[in-house]
Amino acid sequence: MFYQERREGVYLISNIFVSVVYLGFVLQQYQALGLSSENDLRFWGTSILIFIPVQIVTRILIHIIFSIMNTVVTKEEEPTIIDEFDKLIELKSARNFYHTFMFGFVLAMGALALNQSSSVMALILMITIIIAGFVGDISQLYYYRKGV
Amino acid sequence: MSKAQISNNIRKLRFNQGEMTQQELADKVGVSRQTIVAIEKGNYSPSLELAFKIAHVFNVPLEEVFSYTP
Repeated sequence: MFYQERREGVYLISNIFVSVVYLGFVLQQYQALGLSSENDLRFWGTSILIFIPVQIVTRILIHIIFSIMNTVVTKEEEPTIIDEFDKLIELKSARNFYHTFMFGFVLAMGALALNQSSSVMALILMITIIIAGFVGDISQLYYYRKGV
Repeated sequence: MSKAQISNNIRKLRFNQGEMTQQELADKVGVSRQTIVAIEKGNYSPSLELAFKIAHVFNVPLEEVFSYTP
């Protein structure tokens, strides 16, 4: 298994772990607070906004830890080249991420159109962000293994 | 996937160049070893520029490295 495949595997596992823990935490908070419908949207907006830096910081930390562990275990140096193959995989994965996100976004708007509460819409949106992240990571892993 | 139509002789050409390693070839053309592996396996069709660089390393014309079956 190559460095890129190992890295994407680690990213995927950490992403699943962080997302599930964060979503669990948010749902727990939501139930504990028992918010009115007016504060509902503010709560979900804040939760989604906080989730983005949480993901970024986690990814940076995981990258640093993975690089150190990988160098120690395999004695391989981290590749410094990002070539056309890497860029193509990144583009295709981003495309899959955006397609998934757009599908979820339409679903969230559909929920509103069908008279669902704003918290249902926000929850669908948040789950969409999480699933789109998984799709992006799985796509990268898949393309590195199977080619483009 | 673009597996079917473009095949290559990189493995054979590396062998003919004194068993050049994939990493050596990768360093010479400025890509990662994983990219060379993907090209050799037919999992990735390189850009024209990279294809020419690979042919240049082996000092052979492009059609000796890559062949296209319609």
